Amino acid sequence: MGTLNWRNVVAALFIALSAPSFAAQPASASDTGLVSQIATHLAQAKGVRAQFTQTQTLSAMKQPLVSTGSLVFFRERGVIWQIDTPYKATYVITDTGVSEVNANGQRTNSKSSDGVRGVAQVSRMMRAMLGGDLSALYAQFDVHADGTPAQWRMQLTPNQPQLAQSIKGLEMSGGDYLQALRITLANGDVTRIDFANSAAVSELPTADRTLFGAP
Amino acid sequence: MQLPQSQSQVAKPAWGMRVGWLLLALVATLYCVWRFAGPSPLQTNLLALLPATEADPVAEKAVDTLATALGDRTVFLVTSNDAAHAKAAAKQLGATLSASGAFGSVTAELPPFDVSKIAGLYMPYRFGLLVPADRTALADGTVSLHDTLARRLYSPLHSGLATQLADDPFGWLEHWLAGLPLATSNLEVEDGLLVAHRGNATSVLVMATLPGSAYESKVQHAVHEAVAHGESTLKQSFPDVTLARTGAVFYAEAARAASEREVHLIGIASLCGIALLMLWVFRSPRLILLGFVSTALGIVCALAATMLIFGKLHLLTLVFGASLIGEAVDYSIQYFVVYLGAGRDWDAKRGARTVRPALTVALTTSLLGYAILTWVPFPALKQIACFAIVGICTAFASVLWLLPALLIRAPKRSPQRVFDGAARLLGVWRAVIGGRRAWGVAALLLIVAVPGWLRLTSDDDIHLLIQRDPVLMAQEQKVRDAVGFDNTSQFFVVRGETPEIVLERAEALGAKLDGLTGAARLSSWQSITSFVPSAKRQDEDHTLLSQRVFNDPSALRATLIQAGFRDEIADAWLAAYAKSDRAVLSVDSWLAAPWSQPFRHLWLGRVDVASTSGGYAAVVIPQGVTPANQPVLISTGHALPGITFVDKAASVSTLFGAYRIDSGIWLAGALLLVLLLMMARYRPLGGVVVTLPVLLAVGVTLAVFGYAGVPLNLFNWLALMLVLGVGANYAVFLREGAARADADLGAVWTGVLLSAATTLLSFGLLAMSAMPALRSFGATLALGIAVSVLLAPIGMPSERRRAA
Repeated sequence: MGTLNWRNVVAALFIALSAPSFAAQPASASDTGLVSQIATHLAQAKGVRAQFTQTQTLSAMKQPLVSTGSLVFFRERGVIWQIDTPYKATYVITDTGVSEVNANGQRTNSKSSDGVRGVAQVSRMMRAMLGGDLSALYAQFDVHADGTPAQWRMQLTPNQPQLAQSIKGLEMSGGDYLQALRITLANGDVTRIDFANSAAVSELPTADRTLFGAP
Repeated sequence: MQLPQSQSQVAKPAWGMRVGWLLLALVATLYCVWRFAGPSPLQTNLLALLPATEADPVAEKAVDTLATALGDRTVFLVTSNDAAHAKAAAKQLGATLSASGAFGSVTAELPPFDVSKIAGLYMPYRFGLLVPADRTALADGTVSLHDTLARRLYSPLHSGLATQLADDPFGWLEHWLAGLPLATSNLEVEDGLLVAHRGNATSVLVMATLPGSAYESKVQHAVHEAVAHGESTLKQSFPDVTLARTGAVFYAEAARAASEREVHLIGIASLCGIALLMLWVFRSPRLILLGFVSTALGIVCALAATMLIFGKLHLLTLVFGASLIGEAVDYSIQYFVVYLGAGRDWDAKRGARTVRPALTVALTTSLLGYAILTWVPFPALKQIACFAIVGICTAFASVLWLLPALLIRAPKRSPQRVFDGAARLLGVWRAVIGGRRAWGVAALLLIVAVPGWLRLTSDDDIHLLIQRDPVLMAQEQKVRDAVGFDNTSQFFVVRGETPEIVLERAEALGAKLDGLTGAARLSSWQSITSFVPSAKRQDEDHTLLSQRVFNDPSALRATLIQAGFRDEIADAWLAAYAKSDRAVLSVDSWLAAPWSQPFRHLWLGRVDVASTSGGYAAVVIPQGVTPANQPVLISTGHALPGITFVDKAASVSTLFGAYRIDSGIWLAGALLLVLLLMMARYRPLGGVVVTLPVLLAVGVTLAVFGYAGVPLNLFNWLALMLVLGVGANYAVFLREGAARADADLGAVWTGVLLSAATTLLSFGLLAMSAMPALRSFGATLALGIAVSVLLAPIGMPSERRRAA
């Protein structure tokens, strides 16, 4: 099932916010240009807030699993992934680790259940990408892009056999912000995340600052 | 004429003696040549210098197992700020090293690995495998199955080793797999390469195995050539790329090269210096040649005997052996002094008889010093002692029995001017420090020395014995930082009668380690139980699942269906549980899985069968050990049955400290012994004044170390033992020389000064060695011997001549 769901988040974050300076080798020069234009465009905000609808089509399930919620990304801090339906839960992903905040506002350290390794990888990839280093992305995927900076589509195909064992490809589309992300896994399971009401964030509200553990 | 007759009398036994020595020299030389022509007899494994410190042989075995498992890994780290360059360079390096034929195998690009193999091993046992968080959640019932499912289905975070929903709907197996300490967190697979990103730098790992032992000089040489070639081609094609390497083979190669350099330096410089000194004083190439014959015999026999007894030769012994030249030549110098002093009346045999008492006393004191070294349980010191004892005994014997057979003709001239000069010098110097003034000099030196003694500090660090090449150490640190592992030298050994008991004890230890808080906290620990829980634990987890999850199959099925699972998926999973039949994963199944190879050192397996505390053992390696939490770790180990905390470095340091303190007592005992020996030979008062110079030399040397702020270590103390053995000789030579009826004191003093100069030269060069143990030896010996020879005239009898 959702083998590398965290990668979705990371990929989305990268598209939404990574800085423009990179010199890696995507499929073609025009793709490079477009990807960097998209990145430049998206990287202008300090942070982004959006609502998401996630639809997972999994072979083991009778029908697609739908969840909704909201997402806050703040470049200097990390990500808050808040699920509203079908149950309430909040995941806070920062450089130092991942914690889950349950419906009662209790923080539970999910380090033990999800493993230190995955968390460290997420935060490292995030840091790399947010530092404008797209090499981590290009190291894992072949990137194809078309459209204009105002309305674009990107297709990411794993170029690493290890990753290809579990993931078939990522598709992204958007304009000013990322609008949709579709992940196809090697076993045929598909996860689609639609983002709505995206808005730039320059200051974090107190509640979110608390979640990030900031003073 | 009497002369021809006496010569012919001497001639017959002389030939026998010559042939006998020639045979000995031939045998010893041929043996040495044979040994060096074959597999190198040099022991380049620095760890072999360490003494056995652990009372428990299993702990000692664990040290060896870990050293082998981790020490034989040869790792290269190719780093650049340009990721593409780093990767291309790593591939090129891999190809170059591979083509060199110096390595057994070289891995730059990883063979495709199916990660599902790991999940495959655990799949049949999944109903008995729970991570602590899931176990707690199930046991206290705070999280409902419904919530667990929701989290599994909707959480944005999953680990790299994912399981199929159909096999693992609640994600317990996935959590278990995520908890496996498979790789250090810093490494990722990119383009089939193992890559670590740090800042802007991209590092790529290239691993290689050796075709033979890392301590074989052939292997070392081939690896050295291949890596040098690989590095230079890398520099040409990728100037921005840096290469770091680590592996026992590099340390061994560097240590061997360094000590060979030192042997050459000390050997050649000693020989040249000694030859020049002797030429200046004796003005006779023949005497120099004879001196070297006696010395060479000593060194060759010492080398042969040491290799015969110990099999392998430590690098420390080799370097120390080179500095023994200066001491071994002393005996012949004493003989030559008598020879030149005798002039036309020379009778080789009488000469030998004349010099014998002095040489015997000198040999006895030297042997005493070296004999003490053999008591210390350090393999290298035993070798050094053996080498020195054989060397000086041979040199002594060759002076008494071979030189008379070679030095038959009387000297044509004697360096009377040198002797006269020396006699004048001695006269003046004796007037200053000798006779009654000696007590004043002693008191003065003591007063000056006491504040120095009070400043003495000590040092028992393991690096005294194991000095690793600093460049390689820095490279190893780079590799460790990139890969992300630190400690391997401190660990717990867990023992038990059966594998199951070992696993249970290791789990108890793991629980204790997890419970450490504050300063005592560990970053993590490696244990076999992270891969294979005890049967008891698996059974408990199975019971927990059967009580909390599978107790009501229809309700469970309903929960799954309600969450959206297809009917057949839910049924298949329930059936899989029913069929699992409490299957228990065993250590053997895990060991049989190919992917467990990098972690197998955690399981020591069957150890000493006869021992009382159990036949099986495993190691648990804590990460993030600091001085702050170490005492807690030791007490944690003590508190649990069958567990020992092993810290080889600390054990060696403790041993150094214990023997450093003991050696102070031994030194006092040895001084007393020498004093008694001297008193027996020279009457009580004579014994005291003969011993006084070396006693003061020991005191002054200690004071100098105190004033200089150089911490004293075990090797300084052991060297003081040798100062006692060697330094006492000079006063003895002078005393015996003065006691000879026809002695020319100038000649005797010349001989003493020359002996001391050659010894000082050799040990002074040793003080420049890169090996801290030898450096301490050299500095202490040079200093102590210099003071002993300066004070030696104190030991002369007050009247110029006594009845012989």
